[in-house]
This record gives sequence, C-alpha cells and structure tokens, in this order.
Amino acid sequence: MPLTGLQIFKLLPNTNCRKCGYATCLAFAMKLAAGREALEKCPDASEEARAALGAASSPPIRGVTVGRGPRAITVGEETVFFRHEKTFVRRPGLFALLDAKGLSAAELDARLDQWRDTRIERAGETFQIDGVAVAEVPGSPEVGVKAAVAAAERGLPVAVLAATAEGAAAMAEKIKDQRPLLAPPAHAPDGLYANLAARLAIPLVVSARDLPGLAAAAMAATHAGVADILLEPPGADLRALHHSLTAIRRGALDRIHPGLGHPVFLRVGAGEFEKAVLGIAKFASLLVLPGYGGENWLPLWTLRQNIYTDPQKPLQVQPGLYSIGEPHAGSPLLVTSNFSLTYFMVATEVEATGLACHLAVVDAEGLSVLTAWSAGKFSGERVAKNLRQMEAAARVKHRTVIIPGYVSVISGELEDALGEGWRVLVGPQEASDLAPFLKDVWSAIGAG
Amino acid sequence: MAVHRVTFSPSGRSTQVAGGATILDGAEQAREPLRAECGGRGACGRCLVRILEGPAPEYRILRRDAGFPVVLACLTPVHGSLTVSPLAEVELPKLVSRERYTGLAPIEAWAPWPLKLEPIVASSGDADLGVAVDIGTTTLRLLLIRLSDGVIVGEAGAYNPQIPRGADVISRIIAAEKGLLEEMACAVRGSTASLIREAAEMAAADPAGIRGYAVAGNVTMIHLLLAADPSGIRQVPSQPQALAFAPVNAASLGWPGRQDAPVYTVPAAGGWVGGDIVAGAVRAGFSRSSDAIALYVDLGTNGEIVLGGADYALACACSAGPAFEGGGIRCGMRADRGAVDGAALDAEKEVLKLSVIGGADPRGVCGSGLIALADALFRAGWIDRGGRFTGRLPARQQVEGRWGIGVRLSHDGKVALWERDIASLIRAKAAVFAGIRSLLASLGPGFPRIQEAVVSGNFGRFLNLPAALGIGLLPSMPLAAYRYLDNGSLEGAALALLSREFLAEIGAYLSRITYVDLADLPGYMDEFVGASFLPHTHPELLQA
Amino acid sequence: MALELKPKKWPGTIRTVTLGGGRRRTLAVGGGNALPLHAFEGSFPHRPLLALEITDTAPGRWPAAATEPWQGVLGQPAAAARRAVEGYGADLVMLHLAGTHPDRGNRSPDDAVADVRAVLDAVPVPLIVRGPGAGRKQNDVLARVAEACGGEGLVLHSACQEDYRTLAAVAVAYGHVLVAESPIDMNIAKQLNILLADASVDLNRVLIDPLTGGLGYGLEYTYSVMQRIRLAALGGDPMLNAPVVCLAGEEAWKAKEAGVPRHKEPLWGDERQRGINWEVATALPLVEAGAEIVVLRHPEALARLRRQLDGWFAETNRGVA
Repeated sequence: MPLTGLQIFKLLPNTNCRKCGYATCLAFAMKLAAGREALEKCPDASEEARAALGAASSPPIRGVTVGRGPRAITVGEETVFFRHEKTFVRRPGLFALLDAKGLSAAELDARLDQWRDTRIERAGETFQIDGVAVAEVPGSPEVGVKAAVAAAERGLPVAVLAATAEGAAAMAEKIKDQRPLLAPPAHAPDGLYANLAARLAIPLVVSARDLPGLAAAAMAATHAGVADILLEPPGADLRALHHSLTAIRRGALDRIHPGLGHPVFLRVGAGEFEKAVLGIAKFASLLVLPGYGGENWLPLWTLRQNIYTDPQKPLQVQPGLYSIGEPHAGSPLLVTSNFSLTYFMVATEVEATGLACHLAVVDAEGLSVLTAWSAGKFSGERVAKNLRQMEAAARVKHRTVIIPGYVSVISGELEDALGEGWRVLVGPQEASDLAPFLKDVWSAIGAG
Repeated sequence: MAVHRVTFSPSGRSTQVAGGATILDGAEQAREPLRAECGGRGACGRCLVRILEGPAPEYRILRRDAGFPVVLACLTPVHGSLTVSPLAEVELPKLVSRERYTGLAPIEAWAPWPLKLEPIVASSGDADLGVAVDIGTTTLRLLLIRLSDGVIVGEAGAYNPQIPRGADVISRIIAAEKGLLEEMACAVRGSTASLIREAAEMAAADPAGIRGYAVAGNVTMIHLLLAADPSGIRQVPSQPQALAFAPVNAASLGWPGRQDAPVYTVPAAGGWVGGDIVAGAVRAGFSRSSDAIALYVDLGTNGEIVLGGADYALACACSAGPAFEGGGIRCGMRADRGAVDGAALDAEKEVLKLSVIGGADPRGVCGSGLIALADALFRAGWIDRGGRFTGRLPARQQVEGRWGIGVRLSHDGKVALWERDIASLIRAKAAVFAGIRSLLASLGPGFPRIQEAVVSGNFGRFLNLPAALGIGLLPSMPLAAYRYLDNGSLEGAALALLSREFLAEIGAYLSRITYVDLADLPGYMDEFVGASFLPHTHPELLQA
Repeated sequence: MALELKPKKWPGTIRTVTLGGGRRRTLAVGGGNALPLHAFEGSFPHRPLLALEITDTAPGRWPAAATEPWQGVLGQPAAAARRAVEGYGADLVMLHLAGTHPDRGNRSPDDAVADVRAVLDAVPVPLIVRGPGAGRKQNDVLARVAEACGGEGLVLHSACQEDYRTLAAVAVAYGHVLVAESPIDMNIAKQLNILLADASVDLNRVLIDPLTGGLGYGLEYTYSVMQRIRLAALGGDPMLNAPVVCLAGEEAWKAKEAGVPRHKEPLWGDERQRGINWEVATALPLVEAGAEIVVLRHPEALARLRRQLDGWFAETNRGVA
C-alpha cells in the first residue's frame, strides 16, 4: 500500500529546512506520495523513514527491458488497476510477427527495413513497430537465426518465438547482447528454457495452464536465475483470457504472490483483433501481432495512445474551428477556451439556440475562460493568433467575433490584434445566456 | 445609422454603439462595471465619467477635470467615437463607521494564547500610538491604538479607492501592468492617510504621536501599497516580488507619525495566500492547536482556505469571483442601505420574506442575502438542485426578461434574482467547497476530520451559517463547530503591532504553511463540478 | 507458495431497466453486481445489447464503408430497421431523427412520429429514438413521439442537465425509458440523475449516456469516466447505478482515420477494414468499461462483437426479460 502524504510527512524531520527544494516537509511529502520525488533528496530522513518508504515504493510489477540501444523498450512498472487512479506508465510494446519461412534474403531485408522505418505521427506521438517477434522455423533453424540477426542488426528489439529448445538457443545465442526476449512454446517444460535465459541473461516468457501454475513457473524461473520475466496468461477464449489478465494485475498489486509481479506477454493470432484490443486495455505489456496491415496497426496504436495518456491532465478539446449545426459564411463566430467542460457547455447552448455557429476553440491549455485569462492564456493577442491559425477569416464573410463576457476586458486588445475591419462583440458571461444574446444581438446587428 | 466606438479606460473594454445611444448603454454592452443605481435616470451620480477623447455634448458637461469634460454616462449620448474613464472612485461611499472596537484591548480580547503587551515599536508615553491596518481588495479598515495600555482609541474604514481599477486582484494587476501602479499606490496611501486622520480626530489624538504601523493584506494589495510591480503574482506559478517586505518609513507613504515610524507588513505564505490570511490563522489560534485539525475560511472575492494545526497547515486560494460581495449579480450590491441581507420562505403560504438593511424596499442583494435567498428558494423547491427555477415558483413572484426567469424581490420587480445570478453564486460557493475538499484530499485518503472551523472575511458574522451549510458553501458539520472571526486580518495585525511574540509567531508559523496551487491538484476540477450543485454531489449527503 | 485469489464482492448492483413492452418484445439490461465482464466473480443476468443505428433521412456524412451495408434502404427507416434486425441480427435499433434538425431538413414532429411508427410496425424489437439534439426542437420532436407512442417502452435519447424537464415529464407520462446524457463527467451524470429523481422519474427507467469519445478522439476520457461511474455504482451509489448506453458507431465513424482512403494514406491500410476496426476498437473498451448497450453502425462490427460477447455470456440469455 502506498503511503499518503500525511503518513510520509510524519516520517520526515519536519524542520522545513528546504534542502529538498521544497518550502516545507509537507510539500515534499505530498510530492513523494504522488511518486514525483525521491526520498534521496532529503538528507536528514531517518532510517525508519527510508525503510518504510522503500517498502512502499518498490514497484508491484517489475520492469523488463527488451532490446538495446535507442529502440530498446521497457514494459511493466505499473502501479494501478484503473488508469484514473494515477496513470498507466509503460506503453505496451507492439511486436510484429516475422515468419521468415520461404522469404528470400532480399525480401527479408525489405520487410525489416520497412518495419524499421515505419513511422506515423499522431497527436504528439510517433507510432512505430516496437519490435520483431521472430518465429523459429522448425526443420530449418538457420532461417530463424538469420532473421533474428537481421532484425537485431537494425536495432529492433527481438522476441524469439521458439519451437524447440535447440532452435531457441541458436537464435538467442547469436543476439544475446541485444537482450532478446525468449518466448518458449506454450506449456513447454520448465527448466529447459529458464536455464537458457539465465545463462544468456535475457528476459524469459513463462506460461502455464492455470494461474497458480503460472505463478509457480515464474518462481521457478527466478530460482533458476532468470532476472526478467514476462507472464503469458492462460485463456482459451477472450473471457478466460480477461479473467487471467485481471487476476494477474490484481494479484500483483495486492502482492498476494511474488510470481505475479511481472509484466504480461500476449500472442495475438490472425483474426484476433479483438484479443489485441482487450489486451491493450487490460494490462498486456508486450503483444505479438500477426503480419497485419495499417488497418489493424493504426487502431491498435491509437488505442494504446488513448489508454496510456496521463488521465490527470485536464480534459481538453482539440483547439480549432468547430461547426455547430451547419454554419455558413454569415453565421456568428464565437470564441471559447479548450477546457472541455466550457466547450461542452457552450456547444450545448449554441446548439439549443437552433442557430448555426462557428465556434473557435482557442488553445488556453485546458483552462476555463476566466482562469485562462487570469494566467495570461486568453489574452487578445493569443486569441487573435489562434483565430489566424485556424483561418477563421476564410470561413466567415463578416468580421465580427463574439467573446465570452468574462473577458470583456480583452475586447480592445483583440480588436487591435485582429486588425482593420474586425470588431469584437462582448457576449454574455454565462453560456446559458447565449440564446437570448444571439437572438437579440446577432439579428439586430444583422452581421449575417 | 452611424455607429461609434466607445472605449473605457483603463479597463480597455470597448464596444460599438449606434449614434444616440448613451455611454451607459455602451458600458453595459462592453460589460464595463459602471454603476447606475438609479437605473440610469441621472439621479444617483454613480456613473460619472471623464471624456478623455472624442466629442462631448456641451449641455451635458457638469465640470472639467484636468481639462477633461466630466459627464453622467447615463444621460450622455454618443455622437462620435469616445474614450472615457469612469470616475467612480470619487463617489465611493464611506463605510458605515460604527464604534465596534473602540475601548477594546486586543491583547485581552483577541489573544489566542496569553500574550503580554510588548509593542513592536518603542513607546514612552500615553501620546504614543500605533496603527493596525487591513487592506482588503474591497475595504480598508484601521485601528488606532494607544501603545501604553494597548487600548483601541479610534477606528475608521472605507472602500478601497482602487475599486474603479477593477473589482478583483487580477484586474488590479492588469491595471498596474498598464501603467497605473503609481496611481493605485497613491490612491490607497492617500485614502489610508485620511482614515488615520479621521480615527485620530475621533480619538482626539495627535497623529504625530504614531510610532509605527502593522499592515496586513493580500499579496497584491501589499505590492500595490508599496508600489512594487505585481505582475509576477498572476504568473503560473505565482512569482511575487517578495512574500515578506522589509519595513518602510511611514513618511515615505505619506502617513503621519514620528520621524522614522516604521510600517511593518505581515509576511505572506504564497502569491495567493497573503499576510492577511496568515495573521488571521494565527489570530484564530492555529499555531497553537497541537492535535486538532482546523479550517480557516476567508470569504471574499478570493476564498482563502487554511487547513491544519500547529504542526502543519495547507493553504490555498480559490477564485470565487465577486458574487459573495454582490458583484457579478444583476441586482448585486455591497452590504449597504437597501441591500437584502436575509430571506425566509414560507413554502406553504408561498410567501418570501426579506430582511433589508435599513428596512426599506430593497435596492439590491448583498452577499449574505444572496446566500440566504438561494437557500430559502432551494428549501422551498422554487429552484432545483441545479439552481434553475421550477414550476413551484408562484406566478406572482415571477418576473421574466430577456435573461429568462427571475424571482421578484422589490414591488416594482426591478430588483429580482435571476437564474444566472444563482448560477454565479453556485460557481462561487463551489469554488470554496471544492477548495476545502481538495485540500483535505491532498493529504491522502483517510485524512483527519476537521474539528473546528473559523469563518472570516467581509461577511464575518453577517453570514447566515445554516444557509451557507444548506447550499453547500461550507462543509456540513455541527453549527457548534463553527465560529466567526470578524476580521481576522485586522485583529491579527493589531496583535502583531502590540506583541513581539505574536509577530514572531507569525514568522515561525509561515514556514509550517504549505501553499497548494489548486490548479496543480488533479482532483480540483472534479470537486468543483461536483460542488456546482445544491448543496453538492457527495454521497454522504445524498444517502442521508 | 499457495495462490489464493478472492473474488471481489461489491455492495451495489446495477439497476435492471426493461426496454420495450406492451405487445412489443421486451429486453432487459443491467443487473450486474461486479465490474463489467467480470463474469468470474459476479452475476450478470443480462448480457450487453448491440444496437444498430438507422436514420430518418439519408445520412450526409457517413463514410462509404459505413453506408455500404445500408444501400437501398438509406433514409427509409422501416426497411433499414428490418435489415438491421432480420439481416444483421441487431438486438434493437436506434432511429436517429437527424432530419428534424433545423439545419438538416427541419422535418416536423409529425414526420418524426410517422417514421417512428413505421419502424415500430416493421420490427418487434425495442426502439431507441434519438432526437435532433437542438434544444427546443429536441423537446418538440421527442415529446410528440413519446406521446404518440405511449406504452411502447421507447428509449428517448436524450435529456441533459440544462434541459431535462420536458422529457422527464413525457417519459413518466407515457412510460418510456429516458437517456440522461452528461458531458464525460461523473458528477454531472450523477447530478442529472438526482434532478430526474427529484422530477419524479423512476430511476429504473433511466439510462446514462456518458457521451462517447471515439477512438483517438477522447475515448480514454469516456473510458475512465465510465469506470469511475461503475465503481461508484458498485460501491452503492443509487444515483449512478443506471445501465449505460454508448453511441460508439457514430463517434468511431466520425474519426478522420475511419474514412480516409488508402490511396491518400498508404500506411493506414484498407479503409473499409480500418473503419470497422475503428468501430470495434471503440466499442469493445466501452463494453469493458461498463456499456450495457452499444449503438453501432456497421453490421460487421456488430457481428464481431457478438461473437466475443456470446462466448462471454453463453449461460445468460440475450436480455429477454
């Protein structure tokens, strides 16, 4: 159980010495409780405090790194069951399955080059193929080895999907310095693979037919000397899988068994898109996806992006020019902030008027209009800049912009910033007054 | 039809009006808070403006001020583009000055623990005086104290003369950024100086005997008093010039007294938690309450909250807006004559009874009246939990206008409470309630229970506590757990003036206060939305 | 070391809401007493329902992949409803009266009543009726429909905090179910339910629409708000334990990514499959976060969700009350 700010505060010296950089011990304790500071910053913390905090702060789910270099990926280290409790911290790795059987050397290179170079930018994140899961080709071990080496040479993290212990050894041995992940076939006998992973000092996937078996397998691997473990949950169908995924996370967070405190590995077969969706939402940390095209990757990447954003950021609406109803060049142009509640309130009220409008949602860093203005994020300059960026002038033939009544003070400044021909109309303070305002004022000035 | 621009200085608000409309029409359209309490009939003289630029009809010019025509905005038509500056400061009424404190000895009456009289300035005889000042965003109050025995001999109060530069601190900071810092500094110094003379006159004392001053105020007010640039205060995070200022010489502020009489300002805990709050919390005994956890709420334009005890305290400020002071409310006014300050509703008989300061037909509603009204309307089911009028509002009480439905307060229906006013109040009270909840929550789950709550601020004892609990402004606790502090800031300043120990205690307690920026607390917005309801959305209430 | 996983028990249960009635087939939703899909530790007497969306007039802005299954019946609500139920296996249908919006045809409340009647005559399943969402018109249209179709147990979509009285009154008067819509905010969802309860609406006749953010466009907000609502409900909050309905199809197909053709974004792959995947990847997390009814647009998305959920709830009936 994590300690609260007050509990930590009581362990601190309460000298308010500021050596940690905070004005008071309580401020520091609150940051510690939020996981945003380290106790090391307090030079005077007692042994007792260190012990208490150390126990509370060791992550319930260990981190595991696959690969080396810039594209190495670390998964695990999650601390919550629901993302709203804090945040999910480590985006799950999405690995592409590579079955090199029948591929020429040139085809192999081309495919790996393409995977290495795939990049899609979306909302501040670059989507990439996080790694390659190279399947052992039974009967032709050299094919898998070649493919694993080729992927590793490109800097891509590799998961070795073994069929036999010999094949696994051949592939993993070659690239052991690149920290490949060793994934034995499901329900492989304990021991064999664990010894290999321990010897090569690489991470290992363990699996079992049920949860107690899985936890025991993880313990056995630990005892065999494997430092980094991923759990492959049992589950023949989505329902059973969901049960396993839930139980593993809950068991890890409640620390009911040390064998459950590891990230989760999930193989997704062809036609199992729903399994990947569920896995991303529910705690899977490393997924192997079949030779999918963008129509599968893009929604999965996007889902991961959604689920793994920090939920403590204020709910924001994408800044931009929104249409309420179907506005034309003569419809009113209103300005509001991108704090979602403000946006929803204004949009609802405008919609209720039955009058189509252009709604310019200004980037106010997710603050409400008044707060944004107080902090200088809703100044005339800034609003004008936003209106220019969204090319509002091209969407209306009039030159009138309506601002929220709370920021009437920016009217002059905004008019100056917008330049010749524009006029600023001060709207009502409350969104609920928009209906009479638009009815009276807009029809009266006949700007349309 | 010709259209002209009207620009208000220094606010920068600006609008276009049709030729022939009045300047007051323009003010209303631009939301410039120009007041015309007579309803624009040229009777109250509250809407005087100075025309800085543009044509003024000769027949409307009342006088000239530094060469600029002065006119009544409500009667003056616009015949060309204008820049005007409201003159309201001249018209601010004096606070009703009651002899509330005179004769009292703060050390005996207010000390939260036994203090001995030991003024922070030297004193030698009965002619030696000290002054405790509270500079509020809205009001100034001061006490003239005889140092030899620590007895209050005079007192005075007035509205803050900076009000025309903005009703709230943010507007004042912006006004300062626009070059009005010196002007606002002069205004508050000058106004305070005349209050000192007024108090001295009342005490038949010579202000030359003043040996020193202790001043409490929010951080912005202290900056404006000392003419320190306040612009950093509204940055995120807040960066005031200083939280504690060295004493300055009274003469440099134009204040009377012995040569070198010092002016001490009470240090602040953060950009939004000023010396007024710290002084109040120590005055309320926070620094000595070792195991109890207590709540201090200062209700004003900013709701400031302190939560804690001797070991630690959390402090925050929430922007409640001016609703508690009658601002932002269509019929809002300060707690002057004619203000509704209480309400009771007999739901059976559908009769709304109002209490009005001075007893006449109401001219408006002040903050405490607003709270009492909202509570009464809510209890009777005339408004729903969202603050909207229901079908139970009797037709004869109902008024309708372009802003929707309202409840009639005056006989002629000109004074009415509209849905949007209730919405402003709900927002204000939600900010305070959410601030309290967020402070508690930031201590972590299983936080301690509040044992005692102290309410201070402009309403002070005028607050209708059951109503404040009823609408969810303050947490639901037994009424006995609450107590009022008339003016924690002023009382704290007086104790600081009279007791070195008390002033030292303030300094020491400061380091125990942790300032929390509510914007940093992820749960605040959630709490705010949850509290934007009557009384709020918390389960403990709704399952009862 | 023994591994013991205790099932998690909750004090609260989700309300059971019955849709339809009279001569119409009835369906029940809700009744679960554990976190969504946690069939291993709770009981779920009714499985989540899958609805398809049809419109009164031909929709203007659906991508080609979304309109393709509806070729020949677009803008013909009765025929579309039959196809949805008989052809595509929808549990129920949502008729969106988009054409009554002042800007989108401004059809009259009488036109709306005629459309609703036609759909009711065409299919035996319960019907969700979604208004144009334009303030006054929303009330005019839905109130008329509610009055003209008393006793059919319609689901009226939707009332909001700013304007709930009219629809609350007609839902009570004519025995319909009311959807309470809130802008991705748990507190407002709760406040609206309290207001409805204060207005004499039986909360066993209310569904929550938490407002859906589509995949890539705020899905995570809806997802977390729904999880929080469900936690509160299971914790015993009687004002938040209504079943939840999500308009997943509409929000999914609004996304740019659901419609852009492959030739414009080669890396994005086949647009038809991508659109359907977008809808599935919007809907499935919402079901997992607590949606009891998801309204979809593409029958293939419905079929894929059906396959998963049928497996999940093999032992529970398909909501027939």
